[in-house]
Amino acid sequence: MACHRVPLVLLACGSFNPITNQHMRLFELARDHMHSTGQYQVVGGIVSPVGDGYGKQGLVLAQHRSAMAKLALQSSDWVTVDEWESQQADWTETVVTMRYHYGRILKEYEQSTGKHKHSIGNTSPLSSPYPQLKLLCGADFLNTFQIPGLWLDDHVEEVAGHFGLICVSRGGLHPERAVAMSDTLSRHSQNIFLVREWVRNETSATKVRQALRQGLSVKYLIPDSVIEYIHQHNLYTEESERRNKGTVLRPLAKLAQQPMQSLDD
Amino acid sequence: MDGQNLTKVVLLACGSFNPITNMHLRMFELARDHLEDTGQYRVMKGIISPVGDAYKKKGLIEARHRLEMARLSTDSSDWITFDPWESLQPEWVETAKVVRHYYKEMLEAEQNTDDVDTVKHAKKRRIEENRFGGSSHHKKDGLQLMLLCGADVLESFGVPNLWKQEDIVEIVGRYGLVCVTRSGSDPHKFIHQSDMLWKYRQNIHVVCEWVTNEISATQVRRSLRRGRSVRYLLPDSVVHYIQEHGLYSTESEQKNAGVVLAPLQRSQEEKKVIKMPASLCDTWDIISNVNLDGYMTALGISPCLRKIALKVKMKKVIEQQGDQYTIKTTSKVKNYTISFRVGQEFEEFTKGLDNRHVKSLVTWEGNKLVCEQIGEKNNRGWAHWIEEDKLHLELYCEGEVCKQIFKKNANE
Repeated sequence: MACHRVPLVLLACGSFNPITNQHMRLFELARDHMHSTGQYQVVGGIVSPVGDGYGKQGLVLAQHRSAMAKLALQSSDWVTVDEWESQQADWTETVVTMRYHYGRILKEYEQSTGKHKHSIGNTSPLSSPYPQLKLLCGADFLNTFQIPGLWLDDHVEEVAGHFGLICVSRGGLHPERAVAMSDTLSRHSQNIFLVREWVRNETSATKVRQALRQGLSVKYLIPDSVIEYIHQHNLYTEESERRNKGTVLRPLAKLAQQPMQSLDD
Repeated sequence: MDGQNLTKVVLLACGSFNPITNMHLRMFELARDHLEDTGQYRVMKGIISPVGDAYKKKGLIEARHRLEMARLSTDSSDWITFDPWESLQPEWVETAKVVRHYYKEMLEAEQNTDDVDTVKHAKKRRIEENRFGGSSHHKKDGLQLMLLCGADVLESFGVPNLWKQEDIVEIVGRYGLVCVTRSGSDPHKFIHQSDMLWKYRQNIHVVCEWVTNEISATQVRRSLRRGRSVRYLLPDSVVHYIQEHGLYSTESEQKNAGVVLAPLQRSQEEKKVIKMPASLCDTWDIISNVNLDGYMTALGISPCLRKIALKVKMKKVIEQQGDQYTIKTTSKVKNYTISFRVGQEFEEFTKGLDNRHVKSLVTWEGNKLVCEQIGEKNNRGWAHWIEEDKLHLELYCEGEVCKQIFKKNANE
């Protein structure tokens, strides 16, 4: 029955540079899939643009990326934009963003139900189960777990094990393989949901930026309101694409600063 | 540039638009960018012309709904319009005639500012500014109507009885074609292989899609029947319209089921063909096998197995009971059998071939028995049909096509 379904919030982290119809499609596909399991009730979706400190080439200011995402999601009644991550002084690990949002969701839930996780005594069996937060990503994201140095093992463990992943695959990517290649991911495979997209629709933000620089039309790939915003603020030029060129991605720079413990083992 | 030497172009897209998707609209944007980039053309207007109900395609819902959805989706465009003329004709109209009609209208509009189409005022003004701005003379030859289509339409020129040869000559030779490619199809190769298309190759503009965007209306209808979200595949206004009117159900998909497509019906009438399409049921021996290796490679079959498969002679036995078909493929090395009901999706395990699980759906497309195999591999499927007493089979996978021809087994 619906009241026993686990309330679920989907969180998508990424550059959103700019947000495309494909990003929003991921949320729709994931919600349909999670509902079809019969175990979850998707109660919300969060788009969390990465902060400027991420250091990725061509990344325009978070202020613009958030504004575009808000415009794009104006017509959605369940997906919203959250700026917490992009407003942090330094780049934050995905797991830190997840902890923040889960803390917030839990607090809201406890306030609304008057329940407390650590309270003694039985809660009513009829009350709804605790909400969950899962990370929504494309299949290319799963492959980032294989890039040496990009992820800390503990973080993979926490994201996949504690929270859970929903991965939407498109085209020729094989998410099953990415899961099998990682010991941590395959240990938590029951908490990793693979969603198949049958419609091949491979709009990438990189290609959209390229088309914008070349003066080609991107209508129907990104919402009209976002196109208007891009023109108004003259985003995505040759110059903006050179931003952060040659900069080491913040996660890799951060890792380089840490003592190499593994070598001493 | 003063634009004096630019040829003005109107793009016309014909099709079911059942329903219109973002991909249809994208095709217009891609075509305009491509043509204007050549420095020879200025695209002034796009026309969406949904086919009439008399086309009799399976699952084709009423034209008034398809028109309304086209209207809603072109609302936000300042150059793409829709036109109900074709859909209002009581009988199905050949595409060549549709093109002729719009060309005539275009010429009339050119001479007379009193535009007869249904473009909204602002849009109309903008289109007129485009049309009349700049140059002072309007030579007839400075104006062109081109048919905009996907690579599938170009390839359908090769389907027997679907097109009249003189119509293709007229469309391609006199007007022109803009063909937007989808991954897995190679229009250049197709043009090269047809003497007629080769002759008019300068009138065929091939446009490459720079992002794969394979939203098919068939897929959209399937998702809608299953209660899945189709948001961001179609304009929001169209999604709302579909919900409001409860369009696209299992029932609506059965519309025209088993009815012969109007163009095929007409070609049969014209040729005074009394016979039904030849039956596939027989025992068949292979006589020609082209690119089996490419197809097997696309499926990921090992070199060793491929080598064996290339050497053996295949035989096919096709049996039918009602709409239940059984196709047995036998050879000295391997046997493979499938049974299916036309129009009913089934789970297929390609045991002994590439050992994959796919969801297969077999339907009649004209005189072809066509199967779509959805699974790990893209664009996978096959088509069986009869041509001059021979059984033709095409096997598709990820853009590779294997063509096989079988003759009737002499002993049967």
